[in-house]
Amino acid sequence: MAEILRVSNIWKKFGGLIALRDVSFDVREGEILGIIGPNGAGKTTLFNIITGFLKPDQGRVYFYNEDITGKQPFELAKKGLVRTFQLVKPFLGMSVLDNVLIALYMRYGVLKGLSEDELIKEAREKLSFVGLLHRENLSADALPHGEKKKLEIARALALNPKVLLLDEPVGGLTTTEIDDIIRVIERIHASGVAIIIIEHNMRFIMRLSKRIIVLNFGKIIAEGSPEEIVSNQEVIKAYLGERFIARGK
Amino acid sequence: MLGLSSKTLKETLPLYLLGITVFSLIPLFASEYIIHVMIITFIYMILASSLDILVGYTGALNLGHAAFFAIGAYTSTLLSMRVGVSPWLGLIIGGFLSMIFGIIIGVPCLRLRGPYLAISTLGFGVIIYVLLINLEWLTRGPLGIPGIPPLPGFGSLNFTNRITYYYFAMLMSLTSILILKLLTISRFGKILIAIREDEEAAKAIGVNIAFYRLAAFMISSFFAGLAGGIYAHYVRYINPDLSALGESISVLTKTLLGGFGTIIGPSIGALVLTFLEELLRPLLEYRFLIYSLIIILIVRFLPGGLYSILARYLSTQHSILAYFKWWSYGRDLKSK
Repeated sequence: MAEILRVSNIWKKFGGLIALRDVSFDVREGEILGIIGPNGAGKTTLFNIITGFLKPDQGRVYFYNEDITGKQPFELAKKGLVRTFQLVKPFLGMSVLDNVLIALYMRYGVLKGLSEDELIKEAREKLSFVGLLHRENLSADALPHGEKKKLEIARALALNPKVLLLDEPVGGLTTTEIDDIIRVIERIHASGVAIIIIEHNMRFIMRLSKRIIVLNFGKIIAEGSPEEIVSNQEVIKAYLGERFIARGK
Repeated sequence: MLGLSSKTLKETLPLYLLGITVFSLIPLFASEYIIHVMIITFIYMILASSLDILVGYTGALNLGHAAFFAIGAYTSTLLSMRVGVSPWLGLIIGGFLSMIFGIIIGVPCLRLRGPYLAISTLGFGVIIYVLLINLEWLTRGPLGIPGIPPLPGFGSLNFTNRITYYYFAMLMSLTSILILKLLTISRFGKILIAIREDEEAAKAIGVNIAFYRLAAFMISSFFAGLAGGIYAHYVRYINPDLSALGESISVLTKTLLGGFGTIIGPSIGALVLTFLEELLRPLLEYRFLIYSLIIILIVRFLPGGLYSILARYLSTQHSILAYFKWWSYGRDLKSK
């Protein structure tokens, strides 16, 4: 399948710390790519660079073969490169519906195009897609954590993304909530959107992605199918330490 | 298409009607002195509400808002006295020049947050103050400019008449507040609120933060400049003290007292504080102690300001809005 996003030889330093060293990979149309790695491996930094929140020291990012390195986050979001955050960031003082509406204003333009009623209709569609329609009039800060995560996804979907980057979409959620999110992500996947997921929850990521990249100390140490990853020596060493390698066999 | 929030409109419409009715009736029985204080109040209402679109909606604490007021006042004054421009045109140009200064201070402030932004606006206020004092060839320095021409009248309307000016100031004030209110409940306002709630998230869904922050700066400074012009042609004497830090703090206190992020609240704050200021006049500079006390008490006990009490009342059964509520509730049920 055709590649949509290409990350090429990215380096990023924070002072003396090398957060990313020579990271390259690509994302193909309609796939779910998992990115795993221990805390501090550089996963979120990678997301920040792809979506324009940080500029890389070296290397380029290409989106549909266009060089997008150094572009502003808001430009990239409108192009269809949309992210969510590890720590949820809903607009707290606003209603759930308004949260999604803001994204729709951005997608269609604030002054032109659709009437408010049309936009509200579409916002409701997005909310019902993630199963939040019954909360539309509630203030976003009244939502429990799991539903805030869903709201973030609904808001991102309102921009009609080509690539959706989910930063720990099930962090801190219960098993039932995780199953909910899995269903939502599977439906986004079925609609043809490419998805990149950062996650620590292995059960979750193994179930969703066909291809996984493992980062450790800013470097890609493994790439492959879930089966290849769980049996990879380097990965076991990174997660559990040297002495588990023999037993893991 | 503007996405006006009908809920907020329903909530504030009765307040407008009440405001227009009460304010229109005041000159019928009030003394000259009360009318004078009310005119000053109307001007401060514009100033406090225009500060709110910046502080309450984008979270940018502006400690130099009085400087924009002074820019408007001096522009309109100097244009009418030195160049011979009609004060009417001067008012508008004053607003726009103030807006240009809003851009000048806004652009470098876009990257600043919290206390850094507050200090920069404070610095801006001081710069304007020092310029007004030292550019003596232009502003006559600390002496100020007396003998400012009044607004020219039309036909039988004579703007040196206090009651005429009262209605003019009232019209300007209520119109400005209405425009600001409509802006804040439109799509534009919702986007500002989104930026205030979470800047990163707003960026991530495609909001050009710099553009909206600058727009808020421009709108805020335009109305402050306009208010300055209305002041200058009423009092007909201005001096650099208009832009002093104390003035900026006083405006901020009004906005805070009324309630940030409500537009209507700050004008209520302006009404209360302007009258309080008159009562406290014998205390001279000790007034500022009272200001500080009000700031501390409001922040501690009533962070939503006076408007939050009013809003609570407006949303209860006792209000005439109860009817609207039942009506829209029934409609919601039908639509589901």
